[in-house]
Amino acid sequence: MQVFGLVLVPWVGLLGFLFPRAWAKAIALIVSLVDLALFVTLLAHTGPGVNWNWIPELGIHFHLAADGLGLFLVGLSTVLVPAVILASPRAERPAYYFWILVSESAALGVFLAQDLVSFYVFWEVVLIPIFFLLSGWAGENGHATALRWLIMNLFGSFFMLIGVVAVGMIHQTQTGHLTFQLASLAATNFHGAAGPWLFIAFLVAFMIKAPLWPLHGWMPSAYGESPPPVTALISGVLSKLGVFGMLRVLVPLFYPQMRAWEPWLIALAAVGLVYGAVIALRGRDVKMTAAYASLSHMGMISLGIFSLTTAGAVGATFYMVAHGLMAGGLFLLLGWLERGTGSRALSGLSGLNRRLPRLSAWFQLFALAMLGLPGLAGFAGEYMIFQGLIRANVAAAVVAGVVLIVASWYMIRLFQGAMQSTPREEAAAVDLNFGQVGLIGVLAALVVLLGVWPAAITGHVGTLRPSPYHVVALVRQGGSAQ
Amino acid sequence: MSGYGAILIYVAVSAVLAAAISMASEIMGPHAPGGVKRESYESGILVDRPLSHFSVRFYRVAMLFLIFDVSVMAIYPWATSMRAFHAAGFVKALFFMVVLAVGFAYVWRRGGFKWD
Amino acid sequence: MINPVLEPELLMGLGVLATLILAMVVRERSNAAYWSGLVFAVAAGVRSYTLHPTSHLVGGMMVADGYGLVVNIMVTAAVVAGLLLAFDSERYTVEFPALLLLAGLGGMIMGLAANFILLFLGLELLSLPLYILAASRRDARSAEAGIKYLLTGAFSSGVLLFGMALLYGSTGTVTFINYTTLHLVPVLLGAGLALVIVGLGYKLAMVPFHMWVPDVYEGSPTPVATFMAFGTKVAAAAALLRVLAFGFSLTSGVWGLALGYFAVLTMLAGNLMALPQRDLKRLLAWSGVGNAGYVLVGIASHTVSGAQAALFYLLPYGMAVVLAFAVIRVLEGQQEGAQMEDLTGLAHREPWLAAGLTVALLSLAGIPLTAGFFGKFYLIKGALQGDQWGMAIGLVVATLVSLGVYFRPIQYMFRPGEGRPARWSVGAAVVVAGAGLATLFIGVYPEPLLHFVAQAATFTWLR
Repeated sequence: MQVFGLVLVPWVGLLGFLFPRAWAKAIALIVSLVDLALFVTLLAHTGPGVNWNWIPELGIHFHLAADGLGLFLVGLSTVLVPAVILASPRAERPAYYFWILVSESAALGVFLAQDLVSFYVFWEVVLIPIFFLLSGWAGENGHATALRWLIMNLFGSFFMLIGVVAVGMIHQTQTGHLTFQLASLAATNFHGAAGPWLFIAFLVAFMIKAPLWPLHGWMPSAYGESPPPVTALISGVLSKLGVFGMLRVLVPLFYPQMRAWEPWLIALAAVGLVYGAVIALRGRDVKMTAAYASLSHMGMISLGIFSLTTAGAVGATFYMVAHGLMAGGLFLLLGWLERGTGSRALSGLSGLNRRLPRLSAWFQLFALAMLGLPGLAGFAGEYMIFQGLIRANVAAAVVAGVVLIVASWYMIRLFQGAMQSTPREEAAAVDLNFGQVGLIGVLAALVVLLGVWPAAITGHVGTLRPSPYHVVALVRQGGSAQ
Repeated sequence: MSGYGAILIYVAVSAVLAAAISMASEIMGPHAPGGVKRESYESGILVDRPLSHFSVRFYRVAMLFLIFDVSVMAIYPWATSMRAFHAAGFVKALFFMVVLAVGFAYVWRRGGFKWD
Repeated sequence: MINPVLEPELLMGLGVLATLILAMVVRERSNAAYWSGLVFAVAAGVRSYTLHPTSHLVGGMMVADGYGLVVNIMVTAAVVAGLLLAFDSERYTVEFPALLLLAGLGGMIMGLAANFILLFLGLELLSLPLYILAASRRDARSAEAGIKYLLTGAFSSGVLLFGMALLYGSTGTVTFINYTTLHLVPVLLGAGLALVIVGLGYKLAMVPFHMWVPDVYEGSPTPVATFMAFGTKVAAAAALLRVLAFGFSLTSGVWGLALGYFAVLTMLAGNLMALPQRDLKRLLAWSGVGNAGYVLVGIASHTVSGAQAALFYLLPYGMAVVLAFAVIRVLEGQQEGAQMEDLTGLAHREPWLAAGLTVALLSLAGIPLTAGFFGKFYLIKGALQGDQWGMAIGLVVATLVSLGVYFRPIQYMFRPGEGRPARWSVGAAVVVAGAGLATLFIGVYPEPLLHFVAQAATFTWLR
């Protein structure tokens, strides 16, 4: 029942509409902390989850359970959302907080779903709160940004819907039993003519949501124009949904197709990795640089998945959590930087080290984590992805290695440009206050913790309920997938 | 040819007869052209020009007449075999008439029969 | 003496009489006729629900099976919605309830008809009062709506009748109960079916027989447009499904493919044409065209799932469109209709109204947690069961286009600024609350309804 509580609790945020506007933030914060507490109980005792016969007429179950794949992404969401709420302006309308909580609920649903239709329902619901947040709070062009986000994502999702239905029906023709339970579908054989098309339908939907090059068209405007907490939410939590979907759905269901197309998939992810890094290197806007860095990291995570090795998949999962914490923290910091100095053009910022010592120090930590300094969370994930990648495809591993160097280049360029160099005489800038330091300190502590003790996550992988890692491992050994 | 021959002969005879009678009246009748004869006949409505407007009330009366006339016609087939339908048929026909009566009362009440 | 399966229709008929009598005895400004119409329509709907469905042919004319009863319930729901939205005899005259109930009776008969003659009678009984209602506002646009509806309606009736005559020539009977292919004359059959599809397609707003829809919806009084969008569409779709899947199931080779193309064309054209609309009623009219295409997907797929999905989809669509029209009714002033700009800032001025319209539009767009999602899900399942991938992809592409239609009004509502003030009425509030909650409930827990509808629309001889 905890898992159902996790999904349900954020909706309590509706209460925010009943009370005065000044209370909205406090209510949202309490609700999100309750969710965090629920996650902690889940960590202590992973229950069996819920599996209700939701719509027997269509063979649909409402099946939520925390497994090795989803558990720590649930943790990431429940940690990051309170941070996002804390970092938001106090005077925002209740609707703002409500939509953030709804997006949390839907993202948790995706991470917990064990039934393909439950998965799909939450997958689409995620779009709506972000649509409203972009519409209402992303400035002048918010409406266009929001529509682009929605239409691009639903382009993938609707074709995926055909895929979802088709997968269930192919399973029905093979076994005579209509179900969308992922565990049962994993045993189905999609070798027919429809197989590759179904695979593409799912893959495109996941690639758009991540986003992965070349389907990242919605990303620049959405990341660039949304308020910093919302950017942190999108890049920290929601961008994980796409790559998570690959692990949850593609690997168990379409392993043969992935295997057959592996070189192409790896090439695609590698191009995305390089593309994001190159754009980030040339960026003139701190937020856009971070956004494209994020795109590049998504390429890294999908490389881990496409390597189709256990190490790669575990590394990808770990890196998803790590990247969520790092990107969330980085975008929050950049938001404070923008508010404190009134500029986010790289050319307009220089020598903030002296004027904003606290912000600059924390920024340095997150920048180093992003570029993969050993001892911080980014490194452990990248290491495991490499481990898998070298086994699968050495060329891709080399490309990824080169990009890691570029990554340190753009991050250092960003840091040097904004923080070091000669300070200019400018209007007074506002440094972090103690609340903000406390908030970012918690995220930084988690980044360090995961950096020095990655086994906190990777060690759980084998002990939890069956998860797709087993599927990867078993299929590679030639065993059956269940 | 068989039985249809008679019909053919009948059609021919009637055509000839009609032509003969009209020709006879043309030859033998008096001729007085002009006057009221040159005006178009519109069921009693006085028409001064062929394309003039006339009151929409004519349509209303004609329509109401048609509606009730056609509806009442439906009673005839029932009436001819009333006994075959027994009491149930009688009640149903009565219901039909009640419906008609409600409609009639409605038109009356709403002034459908008033000329002005 | 009267077959109990006809009781819903009898209640509706008595409702017509009662409201007509009330209309002549009470004062002009009294709403008594509306109350009476409401009571009878609700009673007819409840009786349809409680009635035990049978598959026997009544008098060689009609079948009160589960399918017909579901159609009855939907049509009575449309009547109730129309009445609740009107409920003002000063604005909409005292005859309004009687005419609307009469149209509803026609729709109910179409749902039960298993016979071409009865089907035609039902269609005319549905259409004639609507011609009057469409023109019942005394202004130029309403008159335009009335005359356009009358002309296209009369034309489509003629086409339908001709098609029925050809089918009679082909089959030798006017009752359509699962003909076997043995006795059919192929040429007459093809031509007859084509004409019947065209004739019913007019009422259903199937492209390319849809030209009348936007003008008629725009010009008609809003409650009348509400009934047309829901009730008429339900009746026409039900009749089409009954004729094709019930009567001519074994000759699906003749009509299946053609109807599939019509379905895709209708979905795409309707949604594309809805994109540039700024008048909300025209927007909903075009959206109705697109949604007719979705229903046709279910019919054309010619599978058990498809038939069930077609019948089920009418309900989410109907609820959403009724909800949207109710919002227009609240927003419109003396002039009928509302523009996109009138929605500006609605979320801040009238949160409940904005919430209602948002739910309606999300449901039309097929977003999960609203009823529309499971409607689309079911339709895709139906299409795939018939191995009709093209139709499934067409449905998805059309839905994608429709996002631009449904999310623009939502953005207007959440934009700051001053739009048109809202004027709530009790009836409109009931419709907004009822349809909105039902849309959400079915979106979250569709099983009971889905089961009910699926049982009703199971034609056993389908795959």
